[in-house]
Amino acid sequence: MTKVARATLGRAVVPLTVVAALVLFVGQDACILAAPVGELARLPESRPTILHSSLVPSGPLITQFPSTFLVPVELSDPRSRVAYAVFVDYNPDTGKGLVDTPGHSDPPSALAGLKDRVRVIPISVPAPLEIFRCHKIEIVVALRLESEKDPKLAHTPADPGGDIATWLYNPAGDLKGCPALDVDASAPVDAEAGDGAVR
Amino acid sequence: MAIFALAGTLAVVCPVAACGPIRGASLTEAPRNEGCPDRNRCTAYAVVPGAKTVPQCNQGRCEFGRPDYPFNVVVDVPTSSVFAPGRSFVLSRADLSGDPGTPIRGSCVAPACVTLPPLVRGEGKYLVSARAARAVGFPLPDGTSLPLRVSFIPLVEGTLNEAEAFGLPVEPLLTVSRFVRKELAKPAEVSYVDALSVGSYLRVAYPEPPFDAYFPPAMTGIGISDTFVDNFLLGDVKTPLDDETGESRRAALSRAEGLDGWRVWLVDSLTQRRISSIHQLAGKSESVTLHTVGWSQSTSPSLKEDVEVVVAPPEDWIAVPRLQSKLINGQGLEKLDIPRLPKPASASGMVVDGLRVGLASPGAGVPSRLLFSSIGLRTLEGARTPLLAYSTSVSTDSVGRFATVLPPGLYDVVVEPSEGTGFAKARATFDTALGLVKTYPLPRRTVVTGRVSLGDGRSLIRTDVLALPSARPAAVTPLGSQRPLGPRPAKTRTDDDGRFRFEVDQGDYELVVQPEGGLGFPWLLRPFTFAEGAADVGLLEIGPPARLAFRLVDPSDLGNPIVHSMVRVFAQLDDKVVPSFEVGRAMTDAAGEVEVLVPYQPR
Repeated sequence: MTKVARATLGRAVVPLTVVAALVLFVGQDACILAAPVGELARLPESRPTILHSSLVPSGPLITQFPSTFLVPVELSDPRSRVAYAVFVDYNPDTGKGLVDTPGHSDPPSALAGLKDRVRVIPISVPAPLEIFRCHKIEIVVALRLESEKDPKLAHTPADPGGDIATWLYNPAGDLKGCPALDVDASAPVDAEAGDGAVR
Repeated sequence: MAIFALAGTLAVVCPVAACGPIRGASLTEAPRNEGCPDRNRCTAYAVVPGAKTVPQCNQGRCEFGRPDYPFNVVVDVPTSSVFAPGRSFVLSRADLSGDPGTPIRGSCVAPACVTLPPLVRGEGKYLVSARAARAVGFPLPDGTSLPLRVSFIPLVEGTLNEAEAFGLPVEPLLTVSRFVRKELAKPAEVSYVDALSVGSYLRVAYPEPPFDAYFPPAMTGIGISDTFVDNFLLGDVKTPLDDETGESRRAALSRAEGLDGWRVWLVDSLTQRRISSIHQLAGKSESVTLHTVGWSQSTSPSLKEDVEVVVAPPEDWIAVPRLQSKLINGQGLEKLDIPRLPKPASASGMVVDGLRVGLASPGAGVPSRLLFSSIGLRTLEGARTPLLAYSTSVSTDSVGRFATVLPPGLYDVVVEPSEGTGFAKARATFDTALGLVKTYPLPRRTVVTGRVSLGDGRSLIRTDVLALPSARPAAVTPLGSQRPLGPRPAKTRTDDDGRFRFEVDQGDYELVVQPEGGLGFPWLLRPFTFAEGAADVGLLEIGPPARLAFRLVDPSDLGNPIVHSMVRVFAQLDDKVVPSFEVGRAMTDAAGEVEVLVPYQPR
């Protein structure tokens, strides 16, 4: 190596050494935080929405108490965990009517199950003791409920809100002896309007 | 130089390694039915006992093909559908099999595509002849049509079994009559008009008030295959009043305290459906005629067997029982005396932990709900009569105390503790003659444990396991029969070893393992009866699925897809005694496509 070349290399190595030393020094206490590649920014949370038109039974007036209510829920993020609470003859004044401690629907672990943003939540509801008279059944779904222990608050979805499905069960097939219902049970089925959201 | 290079490399590698993002990842994942034939997955599954075939690899998944047991498919059409919104259809196995190459309609060919049966227009009237109207005491011109409420109750094809009683959850179609004017020149008629799917139904036509006090409900089986006109004529040669004279239908009622506001009617014992006109009573004694149609014996106008008479107080009365009496060979209406009853009794008590009964410190009570159903009520003379019936329910307070008012007598009591308390439903009695304060001890729920694995030995983790009551309690209970206790459903999830544990009431259950969608495995169903204590159900092995996949379309020429429709498969055992039970479900996608994985054998 010639003298000139050695001098050139020396001029190049010194700054490199300094840079490497600096990087090593900084690297001990700091991280290179690269922005995640290929992952889209997450949308803000939005409430789960019940596909009221696909509820099973379709209701709102039913004459047979089903072993399982099927509640299809549309989720902005299919990986969301959904909380649900079942009420029979809920009384907002006393808070009575919560059938069981609220349950949860976990996202499917298999990718195949995440393709669709609609998740069907099967909910088994014990038949009421007085099965011969009218009952009002409500299922509240939300990302989170205000409380899972206090029946009064379990009826209320926490932010960002939720949705509610309601049925009237009467084996007689009419509304005699039934509590008032927000939706018109006698309306034609294709007259459904709104999504029944609760906030 | 080497030192510099090493330093540079370290400088780059260290921060990256130290600061890699922390991701929440489970140690294990639920196994999936995929990857065949590369890994010989299909041969690794244990052979299903009784299986006629072995699982084959289909698009990377081990499958058995189509199920070879009898089944029905219940399709619930969403209310957003243009075709049949909110209606349910029952498709048989034959409907889904089809004959390959035989187009049903348009380009939809079973089994890859299934066309829902068409809806047909039906209209009907409840007409009365002048003679029948005179006979019931409400004279009307000949051929008058009455306003009515109609129920079309679906029947299982080829049988007289009601679909719901057979385990197929199909709601009846409820419709009402309206004034219809078909031509301007003609007067308006009272008629119902609706659309039904083809199939077999029990049609029950109830005249609306005030006609229901004179004219009986009309029931008949109807097979619908095309547009139909269902004009029922009371007084026709084929459908006369069972007894025009009313002699065999006359009920003589009396009550010392008065009958004002009371009502009387006849019911079918098995279904508790009203089969006669319904009369409101007044005074202290009254004689009324309970007309029926289609309920007489073949050789005489006497009532058929399995008929009961009901005499009920006004609906807002409390602690006053109804009288319900079974008629023997049509006899029993001649003297319906509602006996005088003692004053109602104030009953109270507490629901407690059964394990702490007798201990010095019995602990707090158990919040519950109690249903009292009379077995026999006492009359003022002290006799106990099973003909009077009273039923009421009451909730305890948060520490298990209850108080209610009951007509004196012996009661069947169902105690249902609140969920989450760990106690099971129980049955007991309450006899007002033995004291008006009673303590009900409750048993603990049964702890059920088990493990779920695949036929090849892999544990099925994070999978739902449900305990469903094997038979739903009926909405009606024939007189003299005790309503089944009806255990409550329960649900749990398997852990990372496929094990599960949950608490259930004592009783008959269907244990259902439901692997989540996308894993490629079917449900598994096993019947169990759980007694008090603990129960280990052992290993539940899931095999490869049988598969039903098709496109669901409406019967129009366009064959529009039925989107977001719930498709449920119900297996039927060969003995045809056990009601059908659900073995799989899925929802159609935006193209109407659906794939339902079901067990190769129903249980």
